[in-house]
Amino acid sequence: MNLQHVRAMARKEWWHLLRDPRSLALMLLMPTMLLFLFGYAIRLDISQAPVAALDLSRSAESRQLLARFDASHAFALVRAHDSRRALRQAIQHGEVWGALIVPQDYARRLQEGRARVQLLLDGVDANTARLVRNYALLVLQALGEEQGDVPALVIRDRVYYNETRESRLAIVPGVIALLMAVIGALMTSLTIAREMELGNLVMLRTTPLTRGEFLFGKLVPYFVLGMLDLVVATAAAVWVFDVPLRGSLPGLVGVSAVFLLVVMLQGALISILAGNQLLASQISLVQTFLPAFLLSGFVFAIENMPVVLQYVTYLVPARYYVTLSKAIFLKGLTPLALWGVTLPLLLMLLILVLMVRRRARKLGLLP
Amino acid sequence: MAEAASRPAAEAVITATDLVRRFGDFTAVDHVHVSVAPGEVFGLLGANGAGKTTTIRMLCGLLPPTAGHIRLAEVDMVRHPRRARGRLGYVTQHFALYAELSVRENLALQAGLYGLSPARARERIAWALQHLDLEHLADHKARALPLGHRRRLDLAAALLHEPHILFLDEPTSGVDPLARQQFWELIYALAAAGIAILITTHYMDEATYCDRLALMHAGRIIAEGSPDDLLARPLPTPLLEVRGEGCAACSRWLADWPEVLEIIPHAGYLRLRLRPGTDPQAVIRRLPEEAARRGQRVEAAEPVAPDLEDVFVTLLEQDASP
Repeated sequence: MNLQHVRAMARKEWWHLLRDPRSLALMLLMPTMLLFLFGYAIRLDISQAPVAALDLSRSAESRQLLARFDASHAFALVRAHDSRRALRQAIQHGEVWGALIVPQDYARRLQEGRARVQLLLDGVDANTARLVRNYALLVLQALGEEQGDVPALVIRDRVYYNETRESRLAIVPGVIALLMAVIGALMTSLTIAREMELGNLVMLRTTPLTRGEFLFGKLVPYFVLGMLDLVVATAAAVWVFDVPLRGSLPGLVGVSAVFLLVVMLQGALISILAGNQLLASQISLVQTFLPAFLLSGFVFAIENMPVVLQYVTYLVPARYYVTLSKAIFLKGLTPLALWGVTLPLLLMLLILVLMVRRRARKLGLLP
Repeated sequence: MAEAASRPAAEAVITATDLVRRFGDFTAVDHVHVSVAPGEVFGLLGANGAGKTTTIRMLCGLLPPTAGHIRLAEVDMVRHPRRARGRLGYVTQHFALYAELSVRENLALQAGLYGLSPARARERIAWALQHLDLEHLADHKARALPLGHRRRLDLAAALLHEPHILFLDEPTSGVDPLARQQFWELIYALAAAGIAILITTHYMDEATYCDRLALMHAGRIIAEGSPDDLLARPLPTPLLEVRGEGCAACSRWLADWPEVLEIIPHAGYLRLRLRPGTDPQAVIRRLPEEAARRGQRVEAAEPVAPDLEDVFVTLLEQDASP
């Protein structure tokens, strides 16, 4: 490998990048955009959810109950309604996410220790409905205990690593995996496919440039930009989203570099096989973005997937990286302690290096 | 440079012997020999599909030959491709540099790919910009250059590492005549500096600019020599030029004459190729009265010397019907 050849290629690639504002913007702005978009948009918790109430009891007890709901950070009672029909309408029009009905005999039955309330939920968004229900149960349980109601079994839970149960803490590290997968695979596959498509390879083939020098030269600038993206995303995670970085920064940088190389090699492989930019970009989106989004455990827990799909996730590099980055951010573990997750990622890197080496013959450059 | 053909092969800087390339059952190049000496401009001619581009691609190392040997400047192309590449420059048929990079950036890339030291690169880029008249365009994007200048940029890129050998694959196709003229002046200057040049073209006038020519047909070289050698070959088919008012109309009845093999219409005159063994004088004597009988006028009819195109057409016909 002649370093001067690599440098010439890398410098050329850099000029191309600077010359093409769209790619550069994609590389630099998309990470931040994705981070903010997902960081704020994907919520697995609720806050100030609008809930309507129908108080048929009209007693001191029922008013106390509704006040508790209103005071909870999860709910906001929008207004009291006077009929079931009005409640239905409020839910139908999306004014509220749920409704609470306090029956006429609430105060009396509370005395007898067998009070009931009814919760109406908007099942169109099943996920939100479940969240509203769970939060409502918490409020009711707390109230019941205060009133001396002693349930047979009480669960006292303590949540580690994410004490306030904020989904943002779990999601932001996942977003970093997602954006590195996109930047790495998409940009790499485009840049190599472009050379094949526009015929520049024909010229390169008559020069002493080798395949390895070509690939290295092409990948170096994107690797540097990808790592820059990681730094920006980590900084945003820590200072904007208040995600604690409990593990070591070098550990995070290390596994991120391995993951970035894995997705970049995926991109390189795709572009060599596809041979043109359009196909390469489509395949790399399907091959890297979607699995990183859906199958990495970033939003959807792998344990809840159908068994077949769970096995598929073992082939998704983002799965390992999401686990690692969450563990490093929130649990303060080192990549070494998680060798069972780090090792497959390194193995993937090795396999991809061998595959790219094999397929790179198609480029027609010197070996 | 008629003596070029007889130069001893040891002096040649491009030597290809028994070159064969097959694509499945199709033989694109069939036992071709090429040898070009330093300072020589060697032209490879032929119709599309004759095997020119396949030959040049093998010589540049873009395509491995099915059989045969290629030596470039004493280096075996097949066994030591990397070393051989350092000694050749190649200008592709289509622009293959980077359109989004400037002229200077493209040259800097080439300098890096050929491993020139920074100081040497600066020196050679300055030389190339000056000699190929690209200085005023150095910071323009390659895509913004007119075609003629783009071809010169191609040439500049191929020359940075001072190759012993230059391959030019139809470098002037689509270029306007003035730019073509300038391009050929550059080629002569490079040959004068001792570079061996192998060029493919399908412009006949350009063929005459070469020191030596090889005509390819169906994957084989069917004739080789200097343009003068080729023109000096006795043609079996006599040629006549017929001038006269409205003589274009003559082609209608001339086509029926058994002596006439082919009529090539030109502006203001007809060119007749006669069948082998025909006496041109007899045809010349008959022409004016036959024309007059039809109310047409033949002012002059005379035998003419063949040009390269006539020679090649004849050679191709002979090759097609042995």
